[in-house]
Amino acid sequence: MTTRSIDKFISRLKKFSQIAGTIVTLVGAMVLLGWMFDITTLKSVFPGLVSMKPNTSLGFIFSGLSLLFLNFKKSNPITQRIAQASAVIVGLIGLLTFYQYISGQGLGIDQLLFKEPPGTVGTYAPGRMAATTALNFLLIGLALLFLFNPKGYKTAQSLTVIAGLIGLLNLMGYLYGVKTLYGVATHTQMALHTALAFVIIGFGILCSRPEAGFMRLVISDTVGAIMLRRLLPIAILAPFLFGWLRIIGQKENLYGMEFGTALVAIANITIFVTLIWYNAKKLHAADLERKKIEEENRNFFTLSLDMLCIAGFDGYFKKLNPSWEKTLGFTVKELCAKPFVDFVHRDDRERTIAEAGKLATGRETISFENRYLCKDGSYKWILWNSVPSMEGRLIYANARDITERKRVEEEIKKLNEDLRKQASQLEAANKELEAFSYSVSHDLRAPLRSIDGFSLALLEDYGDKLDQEGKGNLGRVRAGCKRMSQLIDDMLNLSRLTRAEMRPEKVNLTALAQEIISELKNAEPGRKVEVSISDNLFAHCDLRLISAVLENLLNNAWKYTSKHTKAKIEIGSLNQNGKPVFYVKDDGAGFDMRYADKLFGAFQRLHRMDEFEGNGVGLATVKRVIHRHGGKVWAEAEPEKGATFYFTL
Amino acid sequence: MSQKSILLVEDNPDDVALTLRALKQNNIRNEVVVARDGAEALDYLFGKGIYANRDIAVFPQVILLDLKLPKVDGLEVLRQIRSNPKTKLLPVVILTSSKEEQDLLKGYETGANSYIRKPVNFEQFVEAVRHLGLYWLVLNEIPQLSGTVK
Repeated sequence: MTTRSIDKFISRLKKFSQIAGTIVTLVGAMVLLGWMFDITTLKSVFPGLVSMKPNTSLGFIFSGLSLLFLNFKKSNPITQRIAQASAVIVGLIGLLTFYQYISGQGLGIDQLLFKEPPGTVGTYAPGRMAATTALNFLLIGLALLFLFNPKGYKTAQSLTVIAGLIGLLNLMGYLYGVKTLYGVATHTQMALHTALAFVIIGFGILCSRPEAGFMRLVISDTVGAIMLRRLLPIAILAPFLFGWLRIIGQKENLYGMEFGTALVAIANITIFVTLIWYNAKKLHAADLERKKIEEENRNFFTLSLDMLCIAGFDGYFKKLNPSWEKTLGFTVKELCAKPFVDFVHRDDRERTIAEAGKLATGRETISFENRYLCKDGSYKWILWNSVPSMEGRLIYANARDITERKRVEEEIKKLNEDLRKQASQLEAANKELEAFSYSVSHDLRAPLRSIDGFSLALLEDYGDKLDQEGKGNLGRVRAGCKRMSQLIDDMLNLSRLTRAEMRPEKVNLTALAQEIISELKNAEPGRKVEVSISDNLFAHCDLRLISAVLENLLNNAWKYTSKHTKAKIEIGSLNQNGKPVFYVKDDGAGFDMRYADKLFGAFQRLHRMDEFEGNGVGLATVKRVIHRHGGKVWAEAEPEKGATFYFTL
Repeated sequence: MSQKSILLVEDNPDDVALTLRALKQNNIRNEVVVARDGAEALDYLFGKGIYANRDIAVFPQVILLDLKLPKVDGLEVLRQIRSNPKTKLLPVVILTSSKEEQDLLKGYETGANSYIRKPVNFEQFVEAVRHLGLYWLVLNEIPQLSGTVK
């Protein structure tokens, strides 16, 4: 049964209580009518039976009313007062009448409403109810009063059960025809409908507060309650019924007393054995199911690799799964012996207490980290997810050992720090390099200027005093300066190129080559050079850097074909393994393939200064740029037959 | 002696000698005032220090400014020239060894009228000076600066 169906059950019981109250009130009212109009059926049900006395009807009217007003959904002080007053009246009726019986004195209350003649059937004193009836009213009145205080529910229920049993006993007496059950000869008998009414109101009172007292057992969803609900009615009704059937059978002379007794016994045995067996089967299955779930939950708790725990608001661990011992080394007993804060690292204690405080107000904890002491004295980092249960004042938590994760985090942090330091060191180095280039631009050139300038001054002012050799020497000095200046420029360019930011874009190599060629032609219009450039040469690269490459390669081609009267330069691309390879081909001086590995070295030359000018930086520049683009550069040549330089990007 | 003088701010004595020689070879006979560092240049322009007695109403026709100078460097001198209302209109030609892009930018940004790189080759240098002289001393018109007497 779910909580919802229990609630439905409770509300149904309460409704029944209302109905019971109504019935009882009606019965009382109808009997009074019977007295008013002298209707025997209403007064005695069956003629010849004792009548329900007027006071009794009053008693029932007021009990019924009391019960009804008690059960009002929206109770206000007025209804409560009415209910209480009614209960008091009922109790008083019972008490006073009972007193009359005990003391033997008449208080004159019996015939207040109606009179009846003495000697009426089953009546001790005219108009007086049975002693048992009086007693019952006393009990019912008290029970109703006790219903006003939740602490008195149990007492109320007990009193009601007594009254109900008395009523039931009298009812049985009527059914079985046992006169002594419903009245000792000299005393007034309890009327039939009185007995019935007592049973009904008894049930009504019991059902009015089903969450309290022993009614709680009746409405629970435990296995015990199920059994109670199934078996109790039958345990009461079956023997009752069989007894009654047996008496009827005996009266009709169907069988004798012994046979009747045996029959009843057999019937009882049969029905109870069947019932018990049936119930036992159902309960067995339910219990097995429950055990299975328990086992699952227990496994879940014990086998979980995460640390699961239940802690109290009082700061102690209540339940811990085995993972705790595996992780921290302490036994469960040791961990439960002290407040859990004692195991937390000193620096984390304040935070932990604050977090626990939050939990106690009903807030969940998600991803809370703190350090826990291990048996060996070290600390482990623990990650917590906790949720409080306010009714039980408990915290249900899931903890995970994240020491490893923390360690990795620390490492990563440290690595990042190192990287950052390295990056800033590199940046510093780069800045130094820039400052160096800057200073080179200035400071290396100035002395060169002086050397060149004053050499020329010498030549101009004192040239006539110098012989050819002297003039030649000064000429060499000036030439040296020129070369050095060029070298400085080339070196600076090379360093700038390798440091510069690359901005890759789609570059038209054909157009670029054409520009450079036309510049070369303008510089030396006298030369006959046949140039063929393939169309639509495109590449994805940095414009400035690739211009430098082409300039160098084409300058070289132009330079090294200068000794031939007619020259041919070709620029194009071919396909190698699906990737384009660009080439610059000339039919000039070429070089010896034996020295090819020196080709791209900085300041390396394969020709002498008097053969061809140059300082050996051009191809080094080309190689650096191509490598920055992730490509390759190489060359093939034959002396005097020309050279071809290939590159990929 | 023409009133159109040239202020040459240059710390390298060789460069000073060569520049004067180049000017002479081009028959440029204007008075050349040489300041050996940035501080001296500013003292000259504003009549301070050793030039305290100079008539500061008279300004040079053009200032040839090197960038790398001791004490106060070239750009700072230029900045001060451009921020003083008396001198901010004076033509300044940056004459320096550096072809570094950032120097070029900073020079123009600070307000230089022209930026010329000193070539190593002396003949080219003489040629450059000839152009300089022709342009700044002959062709270029400067506004009437307060107190300048023609």
